[in-house]
Amino acid sequence: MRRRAFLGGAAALPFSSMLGGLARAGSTSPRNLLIVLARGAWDITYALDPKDPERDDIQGPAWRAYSQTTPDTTDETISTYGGISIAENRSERPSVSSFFQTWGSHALVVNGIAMKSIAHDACRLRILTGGTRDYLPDLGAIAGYEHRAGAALGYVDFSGLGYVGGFASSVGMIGNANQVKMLLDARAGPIVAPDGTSYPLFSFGQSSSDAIQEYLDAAAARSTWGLTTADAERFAALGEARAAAAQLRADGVELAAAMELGAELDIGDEANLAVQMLTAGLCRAVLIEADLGWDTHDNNSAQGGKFESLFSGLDGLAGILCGADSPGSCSGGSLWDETVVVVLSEFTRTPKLNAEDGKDHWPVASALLFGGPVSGDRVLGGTTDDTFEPQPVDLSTGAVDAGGVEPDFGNLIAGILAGSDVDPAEYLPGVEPYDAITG
Amino acid sequence: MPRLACLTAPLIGVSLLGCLCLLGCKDDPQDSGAIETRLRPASDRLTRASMALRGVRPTTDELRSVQADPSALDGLIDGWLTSEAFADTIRDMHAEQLRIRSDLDEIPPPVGALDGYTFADTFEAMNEAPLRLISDVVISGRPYTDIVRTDELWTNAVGAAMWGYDHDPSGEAWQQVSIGDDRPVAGVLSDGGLWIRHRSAGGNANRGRANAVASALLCSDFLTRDIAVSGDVDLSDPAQVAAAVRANPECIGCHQALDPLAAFWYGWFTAPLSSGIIGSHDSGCGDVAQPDIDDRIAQALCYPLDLWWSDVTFYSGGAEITYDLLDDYWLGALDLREPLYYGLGDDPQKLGEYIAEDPRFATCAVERFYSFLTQTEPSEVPAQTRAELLTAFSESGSDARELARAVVTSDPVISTTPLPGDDRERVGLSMVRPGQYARMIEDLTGFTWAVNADDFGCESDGCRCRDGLCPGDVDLAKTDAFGFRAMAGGMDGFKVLGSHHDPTPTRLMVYDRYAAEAAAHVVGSDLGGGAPRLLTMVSATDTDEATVRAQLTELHLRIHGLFEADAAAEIDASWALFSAALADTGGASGAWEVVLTAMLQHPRALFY
Repeated sequence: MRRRAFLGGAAALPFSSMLGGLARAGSTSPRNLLIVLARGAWDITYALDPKDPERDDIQGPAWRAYSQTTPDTTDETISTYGGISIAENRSERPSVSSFFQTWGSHALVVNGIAMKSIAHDACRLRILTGGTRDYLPDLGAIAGYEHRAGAALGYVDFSGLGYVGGFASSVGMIGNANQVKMLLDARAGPIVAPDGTSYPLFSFGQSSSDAIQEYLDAAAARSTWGLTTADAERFAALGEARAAAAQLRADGVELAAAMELGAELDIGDEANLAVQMLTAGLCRAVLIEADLGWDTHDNNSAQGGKFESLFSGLDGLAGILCGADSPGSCSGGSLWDETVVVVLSEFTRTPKLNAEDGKDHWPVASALLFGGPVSGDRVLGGTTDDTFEPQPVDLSTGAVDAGGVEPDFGNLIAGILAGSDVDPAEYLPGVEPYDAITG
Repeated sequence: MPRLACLTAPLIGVSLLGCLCLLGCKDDPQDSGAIETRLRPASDRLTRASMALRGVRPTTDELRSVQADPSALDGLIDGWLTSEAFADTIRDMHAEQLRIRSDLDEIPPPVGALDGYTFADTFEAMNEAPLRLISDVVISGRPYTDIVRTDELWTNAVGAAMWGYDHDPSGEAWQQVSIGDDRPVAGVLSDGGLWIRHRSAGGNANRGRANAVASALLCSDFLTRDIAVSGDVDLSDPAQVAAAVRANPECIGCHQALDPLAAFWYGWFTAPLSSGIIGSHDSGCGDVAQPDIDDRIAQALCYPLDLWWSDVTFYSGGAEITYDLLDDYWLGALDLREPLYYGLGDDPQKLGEYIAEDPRFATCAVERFYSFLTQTEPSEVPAQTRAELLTAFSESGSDARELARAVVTSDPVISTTPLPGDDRERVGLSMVRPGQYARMIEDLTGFTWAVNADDFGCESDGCRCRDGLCPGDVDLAKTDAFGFRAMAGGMDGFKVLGSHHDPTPTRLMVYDRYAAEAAAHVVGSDLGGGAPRLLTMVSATDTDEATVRAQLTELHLRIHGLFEADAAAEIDASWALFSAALADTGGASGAWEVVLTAMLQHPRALFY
């Protein structure tokens, strides 16, 4: 396993020191990964990949209507915070500005990622896994598995959008209505049958519950009727999953108490819950969805409000992780020092508006990474200003380089894995990591 | 796993085989005894076939029958292949294949003619109709190709109101109806519900629908391919796109195949979203006398839905083109491709025929059946197996029942080691899918995890209803909006696009809750005077060891397929658990609830 850290030049702790929570205090190693997926495809010209509002090659937020012949540059500008240039509109999207103003020193933007597809599901698979096979694990499943240490779970998928691959036994789900609360607390409810009968019909005392678990563990140990290698692997996974479930039940009491059955969670709620799970050591990686209706085939100007909501949520998330309102004031030993947040979307939207004032799909993606371990104030890669195509880059520096390679989703995920202390060659063999992400 | 070659009797049980091997095994692939003893035990083969085909455990009678004569399995399979349980399996399989039954996606709202129904009712009407068609084709033994050729659709009473079909209220809940308009006669492809689930944006000219079909029925998913889009094509301009897909070298590789297929869906209205249906009803469903385009859309989105517009075409090569209503609205002026299926004619009525005649249809069916029934990736079906199954399928006249039989009796499924010269991987144990678990539990205990979702998790009545529209009654094993399908390894068809077959912590926790509820239900019923399902040998006061052990012996056979001779350790463990639970709960009922909760999660209940 290659030793990497996002914080360039930082003294790196050996990976073994991160096991069992030994290196929690003072560690600069990223051991938590929080992925935010803006499912539906954001328009990155509204924030991360600003384009000259006066030009109409690529119609950013200064172009709101198909019928426009000149841009409306009121309030629209390009501003730079540290080394990061963003499309800024302080009236419509103040949270984008305040996020980079506050957290930019620990934020990294990667632009110009070639997706080679314009289909939502295909690109969701690509941007989360770095590959095109849906039976392989995604970034969170890998990082969670590798860094799980003593946590009940490696990875928790809030959204159902993730890919567990071969790490199923370390992955948990929350459910669309916080259903996991019913699993952690049998008396959660009320849950009523159509005939009026209340659930649960039966719940055990602790001694019976323990006896059942012992019975099942022993039964699994006795189960030798399957004779193939795959059968043996199944039983091993069963044991791992059963142990994880038991630990989750034991460690998840407070989590269950904090959850509302049936609640519809927004990005802020999900972020709070995710941080609570990371803090409690229930898991090491989380996938949440910024479900804001990004797929603006009509009325693309709605992207402005969506970016405001997203960055308001990200600003809040950074503050919770930090325990203060700026990186310099973060609580010592806080999650901020140990957590990398990766914000992704399947791809961006077409350079120009369509007749419905919307934008369609465009096979280029961007990513935003932030957190204590991230070497910030940086933008890697880019897109052309006329055709909105990925520019070739030197993967070791992220600088646009005519002699470089066109970075794609595989390079991106391999680079993030490398920066997360995971050897990408184990999961994406033959894919060159985007090493500049490490800083 | 080394190849075992024991000189033992044919079809000997594996545990006994292990003992005999200690006495003298040799690695001799030519030995006839080795060929026989490499099979899984007869009871395991029975359980495997029963769970795969029906989703229920074999009965004790079936187990004893096959134990006495392993060849009896063939006769049992004959009966199962026409059973309602097998029809359930076929529907489950095709729901995954077609990515339907997604309660996270758009569901037609119960307004207008559907006033008084719930979302659960409209969800069932929309999603089960194509699945009923498919299961009827399969169970009746008609050629599987009929799923894209028949001129009959299926509906229940709610679906009849939704689509304007006839429905006999005195008949069966689900009934056949004939397609009443001039839409392409193509089995499930003529079913409107499928095209609510699979919507194509207007500008996409039904390519999304075409790809859904190509992927599901031909195992040819265009979306897995890489594309290269250069910046000189403005994808937001339909005219540029239309030109590019005909002439741009980067586009035509896919589109010369996809677009002629997409054109067959020319008349299907685009996206009847819930809000559109509600809005149309609120607005009075448009002016019928002198409709403009907005009136016509409003009419289309009022029940009964009118999603097939035969006067709409997206291409200019057809014999009759009517753009009157749409000239300025959609894509009427564009020159898109005609309905051509690799050069085979231009008659949209023949869509199903063309698909059925495509060689990939049969190959895809083989891969889909094998993949679903053995929990392997479609791409990983061994070539030899694919060839064998294709032959069986073809020789049966495309009878999907025979394909299913061939899968569950194929060598990789029934054996643990290969025959000499066969390098195919054996199919390992399968994990019970959430839908199977629900059927298995209901079959064993009579319990279904039904919930009134109107009040889900809240104290006030109907808190989950919005504007008088309520979710209704749901089965927690089959819903993702409220329940546990995807959390237990299933797919929701919307976000979770594939099921997985490994134990996860969440999945085990779901099955734990499910087992506890089912145990409580069956104990209450069996010991409360109902016709006993599982506790057939004890009363509510029996706690003596002999009686309890006798009952446990029967339970291990019924639930786990273990005969007494092989179950000694299991029976001992269960008796120990009963004793501990008796002390903890203070009565036989509580003890049985604990024991059955455990037995329903035993590895032999979760795997087959």
